[in-house]
Amino acid sequence: MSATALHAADTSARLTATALSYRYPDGTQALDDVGLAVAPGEIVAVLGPSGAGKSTLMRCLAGLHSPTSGTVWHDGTDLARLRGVARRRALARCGLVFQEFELVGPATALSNVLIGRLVHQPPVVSLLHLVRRADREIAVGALLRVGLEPQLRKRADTLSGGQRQRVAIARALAQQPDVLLADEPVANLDPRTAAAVVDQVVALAREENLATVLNLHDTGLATRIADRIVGLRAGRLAFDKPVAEVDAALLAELYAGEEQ
Amino acid sequence: MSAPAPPRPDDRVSALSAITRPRWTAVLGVVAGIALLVLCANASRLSVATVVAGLPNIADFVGRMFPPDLSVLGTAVVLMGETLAMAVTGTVIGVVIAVPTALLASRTVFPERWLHYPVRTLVNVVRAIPELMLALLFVSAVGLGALAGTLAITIATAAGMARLFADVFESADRRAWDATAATGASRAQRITWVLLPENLPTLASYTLLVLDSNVRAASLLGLVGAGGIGIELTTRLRLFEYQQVLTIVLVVLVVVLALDRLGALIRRRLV
Ligand SMILES: Nc1ncnc2c1ncn2[C@@H]1O[C@H](COP(=O)(O)OP(=O)(O)OP(=O)(O)O)[C@@H](O)[C@H]1O
Ligand SMILES: [Mg+2]
Repeated sequence: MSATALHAADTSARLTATALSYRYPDGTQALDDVGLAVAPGEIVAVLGPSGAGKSTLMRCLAGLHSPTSGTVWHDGTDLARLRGVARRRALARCGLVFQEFELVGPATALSNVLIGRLVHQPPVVSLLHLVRRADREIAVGALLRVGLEPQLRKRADTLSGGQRQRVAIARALAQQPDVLLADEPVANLDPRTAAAVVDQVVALAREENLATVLNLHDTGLATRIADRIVGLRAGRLAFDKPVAEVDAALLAELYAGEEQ
Repeated sequence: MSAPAPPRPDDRVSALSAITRPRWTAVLGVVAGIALLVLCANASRLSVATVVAGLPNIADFVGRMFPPDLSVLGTAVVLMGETLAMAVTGTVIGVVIAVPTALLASRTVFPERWLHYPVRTLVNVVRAIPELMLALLFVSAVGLGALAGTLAITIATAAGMARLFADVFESADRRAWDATAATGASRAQRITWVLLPENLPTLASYTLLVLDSNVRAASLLGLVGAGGIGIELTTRLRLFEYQQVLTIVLVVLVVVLALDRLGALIRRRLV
């Protein structure tokens, strides 16, 4: 399958990766010729054994890693080519939710969510923690949507794991992104809380019509919430199918050789 | 060439768990270290016999300090006030200089080598100058008195704290910093929204510790005429007024201990 063909065919996609390869400075080839396209409102789950390159794929899609070769297109722009303010504006359009320890512990939930609005603030005034009223309202609104009104002014490090992850989701929402990427957002939560948090992410993503890529360990959860499943194995695309076509045999093959 | 048979798991386990012999360079290093220590002890005239023989002298010296002569109490208290003022002013201004300097010196905040390298070098050079030397320098610049001492404490604190804070920033948790970078926030925004809030308790705690040590330093700077209670202390010592010396020492002791308690109290509320 030619990567450029994939790009040309999928003009409706909001997030497109073509012939994406990534090699770490130490020589590890983490991604090898991966193609992927995600349309607005579409929920894609990435599955694959440990070390398959799922986190690397997320970081490339988010623009945090510049691909060694290939391109990530976000609505027709290539993040790797942008610098300075243009790059920061583009980064803001991509909401990220990673594992739970990414909040500023001593800061309040609200302050953490306001971080999602910083890119839109006048550069000097915002250093004093002064944020425009309209932006504060966006941040508070995001916290209300994830159900954290009582925790608004609590320190992030006093919240439970599930609440903390909701703060991270609210921060991503406050960015008013059009792409949402989540790398094992619930890995440290108990199964019930995990399912609730993922359901909330999915519901919000659908409401906001976000192109969403989730990387989940729980295959049951992934097949329940996703529209499409992307299988990754040793840095290569193993399959990319609508969830209805993904069966136990396919998953067994994907994870073959990995002891659980 | 025939491929060797794959080793049995047992062999691999025993090979991997074999104790690694210390390398001869490591052995040599330890021996050299011990030799150096012995040489140092010799050079510093370390001798238990002399210490034991000297004990009665110490007892005699301490004995002559009693009872304390309270006639100098007023002067001592006033001078201790000056000493405290020097320490507090020097610490506050020093820390205010240290924070931005430490940020510039942190490899993780400013990975640009042309920026952090010269700042780091400057900090290390200044840090190498003893406080008394700085005080002498400022006495010759601005004359005798508390100003010289305050400047010395300011510069020493700025350099010492800059080094310490830079290490704090470099070893700080990067996850919130990276996540914030991914929202498009600028580096300056990440400093005031993430790095400083996360490390404020640590910075404040170090500041209290250094205030403590600055009070002790300020008590000595009088030796070179840089203000504070030290001048009174040396004068009384030279005149063999040991009972007055005791009063002065007690005033210093009370203030240092009180400050220590206060610092511990504040630190407990910070962390
Ligand atoms: N910073 C790094 N430097 C060098 N190699 C790395 C780095 N990060 C990851 N790798 C390597 O890249 C490959 C892909 O790693 P990645 O973290 O993307 O896997 P993953 O699919 O997310 O695994 P997991 O499910 O365990 O999180 C692995 O072989 C890993 O060892
Ligand atoms: Mg991972």
